[in-house]
Amino acid sequence: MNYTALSLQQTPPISVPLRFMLSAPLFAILAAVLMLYTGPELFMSRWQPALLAITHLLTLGFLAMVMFGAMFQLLPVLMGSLLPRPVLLSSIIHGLLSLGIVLMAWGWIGVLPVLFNWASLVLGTSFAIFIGLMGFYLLRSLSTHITRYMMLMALLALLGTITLGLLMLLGLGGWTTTPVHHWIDLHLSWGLAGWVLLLVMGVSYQVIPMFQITSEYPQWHKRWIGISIFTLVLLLGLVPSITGQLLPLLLAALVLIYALTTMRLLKARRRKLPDVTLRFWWLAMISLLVLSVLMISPLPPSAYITMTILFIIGFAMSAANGMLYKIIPFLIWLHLNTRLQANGRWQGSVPNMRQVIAEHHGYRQFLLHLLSLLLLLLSSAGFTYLYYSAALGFLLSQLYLFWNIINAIRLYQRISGQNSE
Amino acid sequence: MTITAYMSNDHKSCDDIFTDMESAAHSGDWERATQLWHSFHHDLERHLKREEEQLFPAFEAQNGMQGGPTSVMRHEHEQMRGLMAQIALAVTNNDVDELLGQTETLLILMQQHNAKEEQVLYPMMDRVLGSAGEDIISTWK
Repeated sequence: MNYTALSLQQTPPISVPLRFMLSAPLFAILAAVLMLYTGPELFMSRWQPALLAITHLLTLGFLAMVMFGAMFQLLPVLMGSLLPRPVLLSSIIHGLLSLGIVLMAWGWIGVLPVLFNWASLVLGTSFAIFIGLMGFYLLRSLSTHITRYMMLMALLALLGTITLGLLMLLGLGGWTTTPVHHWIDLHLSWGLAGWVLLLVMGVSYQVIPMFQITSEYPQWHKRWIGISIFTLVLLLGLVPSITGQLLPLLLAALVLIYALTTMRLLKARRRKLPDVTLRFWWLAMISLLVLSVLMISPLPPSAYITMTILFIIGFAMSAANGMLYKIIPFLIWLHLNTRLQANGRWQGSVPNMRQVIAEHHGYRQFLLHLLSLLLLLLSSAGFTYLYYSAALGFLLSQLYLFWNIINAIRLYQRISGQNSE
Repeated sequence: MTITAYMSNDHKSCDDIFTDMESAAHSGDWERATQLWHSFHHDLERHLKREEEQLFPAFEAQNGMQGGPTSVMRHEHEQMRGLMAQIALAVTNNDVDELLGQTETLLILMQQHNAKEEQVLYPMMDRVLGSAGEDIISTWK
């Protein structure tokens, strides 16, 4: 084995993760504006173009952005894998992803099918580079940590999700004509239960014990839960005839086990200080817990939108939002500190993490996020008169998040500007 | 006992003192916080020294390499020491905001550092050093 190939630092330039993370709230802000523009009929049917546009602004614009940024950062640091040309590659992936999301959303809102063809070309290129790059380096990684295998499974699920998505986009653009109803369900389950859930789980296996100082997830849990979810999701695609009742029941049970295990760890954490990321983790797990119960409850099809809100905004966006409050202040501190050390100067003028983003700003944004989640859930469940306050709350929450991130970046630029003089 | 087992265990024991120290400072019990801070500082410094003076040189000698992963680890040790100097000051001044801002930063730095050691570097040292690693550890007990 060649040990010199291993680098334990190789943290990429700070612009690499930050370009993704700063874009995330911008796309969510667009989604919120679109909610306000569309009005309460948004929640009448899951097939409305505006709802499809909003969903993808959140899943690709917010979630994929944060996840891509986090993977660009985490892979070199935790997996000991060097990524080549990180600035160039992340610029291409980020640029194409951003353009593709806008084209796709515009295609739905402006009823311009031709845009779907362009969107599928642009998004396809972005995802192909990302999946190829991450897959290659995950396979070469020396790490034996479960997170590596979870990321590989998540990436495979992403590949399936994107392939189906692109085929359907081309269908909308008039290139192919295929019956797509089964594909939509697959696209959804691979995207949400495959890519999003497995990736968040894999990351949580690392970061919850690390940063909240909890016990490790039990060995049996790490070994079986992720692979079982992956197998179920795969089965959904290969053997559609058995989808009936059994698979959703099993999936709900696995999701429930993950949520309960995480809550048990969080409850018994050894670090007792209040912490905004911890609150986001709790909200994510409570959302998942409620969702797993709803999954096996006899509900009308209209509950479908409420459940999707619970998963995307309640679970996934909460987990990602909470992580941003750890990753961004730490990266800013780390890069400022390294810069000072490289100049041979002792630290002192480097702000600590809580000076980069003050705890109370994170906490207030958490409250707005929580409030808007509750309002969105209620308004989708029939309390239509809450719709505008829900959309407005969501807009304010994402504006606040953007403001917190942009202030942190400004602080970084100000201090690194001073030090280079 | 392997390097991985011994040193990972030492990380955990440092974590426990560290979180107790944070809690004591948060609740305003500065006497206890000061006491815990000294014992944390002592234990972590001992841990870092053992790596820098014994484990890393042994590993580098076997590997015939310097400037690889161990130099990154040494660099991060210096970053930790910088933060510990700031924390010591905050403890002396009983400045809770400053202390918690610095400990939060140290926590993340320390934890990602530990994860790299526990998941990659220590297992690699165990493979490369074999029983020589266990001999080093036995002198500490």
